[in-house]
Amino acid sequence: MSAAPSDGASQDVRAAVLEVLQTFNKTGTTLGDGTRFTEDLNFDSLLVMEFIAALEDRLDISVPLNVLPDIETVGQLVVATTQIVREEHG
Amino acid sequence: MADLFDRFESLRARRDGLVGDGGHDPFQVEMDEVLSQTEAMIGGRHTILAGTNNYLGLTFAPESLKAAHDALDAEGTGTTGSRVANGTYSGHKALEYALSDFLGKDHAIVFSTGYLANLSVLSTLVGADDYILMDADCHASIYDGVRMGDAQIIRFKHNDAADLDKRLARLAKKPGNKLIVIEGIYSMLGDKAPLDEIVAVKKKYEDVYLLSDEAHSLGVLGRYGRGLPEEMGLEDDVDFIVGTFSKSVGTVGGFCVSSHPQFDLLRLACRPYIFTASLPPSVVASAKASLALVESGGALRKRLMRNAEHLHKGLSALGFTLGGDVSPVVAVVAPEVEIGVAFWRGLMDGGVYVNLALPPATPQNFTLLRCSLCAAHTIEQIDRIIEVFAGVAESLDMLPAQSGKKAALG
Repeated sequence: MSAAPSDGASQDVRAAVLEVLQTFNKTGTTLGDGTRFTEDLNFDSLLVMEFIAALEDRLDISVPLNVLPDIETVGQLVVATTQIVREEHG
Repeated sequence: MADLFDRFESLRARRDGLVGDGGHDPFQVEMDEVLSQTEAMIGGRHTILAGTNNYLGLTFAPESLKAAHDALDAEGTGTTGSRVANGTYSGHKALEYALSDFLGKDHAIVFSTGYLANLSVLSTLVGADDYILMDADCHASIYDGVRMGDAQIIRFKHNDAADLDKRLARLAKKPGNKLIVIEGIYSMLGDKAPLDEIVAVKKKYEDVYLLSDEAHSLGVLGRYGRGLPEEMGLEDDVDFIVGTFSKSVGTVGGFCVSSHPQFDLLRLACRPYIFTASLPPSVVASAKASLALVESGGALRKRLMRNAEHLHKGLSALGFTLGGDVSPVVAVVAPEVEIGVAFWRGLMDGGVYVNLALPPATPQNFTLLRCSLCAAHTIEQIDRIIEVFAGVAESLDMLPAQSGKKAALG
């Protein structure tokens, strides 16, 4: 997946992702596009599900489970969710 | 050198941390001798079974035993083949007719387990342009089934029809079929789906189908045991019903029924149906005999619910936190995993077997001492279960509520 786009919509999504992610950040990691969910944040499958559910609530979207295996970093999640926001609210 | 099993290191560490001290291992229980539907010898101890899915107690029904014996003697120990090759005997077809007749649908397909029924149907029924909307608390077989398929998988909040509505609304402009997947009774906490609300949401949109997994509710709910759709008078609104023979029906196997005119095409498309050996004739015969007993089992259902109410009331009175309303699954919530394991071992020492259920297999990360009841339990057995729960709580210094202190368990 390519680097995160930097237009207005994706900036809003990035801010929302970081805001929700901060509540799941138990390792005190400084969060950025390069932050990896498994290696840096110690996310297991259960935590991923809880985080995605919280993000869905925050952005009022549905994130299909299908997209998750390809997402390793915050930047990749921002790209994927920006696209979903555009599709569902665009 | 890297070892192939290094990837299981965290699993090994978790197991050893929880049960590596040589005490009773909740995941390696061995029944030395099964004495009845409700009792077994485990580790030399006479034990009450309160953690089976034998809701109606049909595992020793004389009619089912006889049917199984007869089929075993007449047709042998196994079919040695798939349903689409040499593994469909007249008994398999007779069981499918009995199922479609019982559940009031035009078609039925029998699979070799309930797990395979969900793998088969959910991986095949919907394709890449379609959407699955599944309750977040659905069973692992549903998660595995949808992951095997190509549809977009969307979870909605457990038992939350408004959340489902919101998600369907966002998909309304998109082409493709939508399949809602729920369960009649959810296995861990024993809570029922709000089927009326879900059906109402379904009817607001085009191209939406509803599948209900009645694994834990078949035989349990409804006057004739046809599950939650029967109990709520909504059988015509459920397009696909999946179920299992390994709970109320007392043997093993799975099925799906539907009135869709093309339903039989799934036999040629479902890989877990095509590439698995079919059920042995004895299993098929006992399933068919037990299905008749399920339908006529009103008295068994009354006993089951009486037992459920008795256990629910008794454990509530002791101050335990229970996972849901009265149902044949009575789940006691433990505050943490270690206490759950210690409590489970205390119950085993007291001669009571329940299921210990741990995250991530549980909703809300609960640690659960999951009791499930059987119509064949006596009130005396249930009183004994309650007594052992009270004793273990006391020995672990979790004083019951009537002492005036807050119950520590929950």
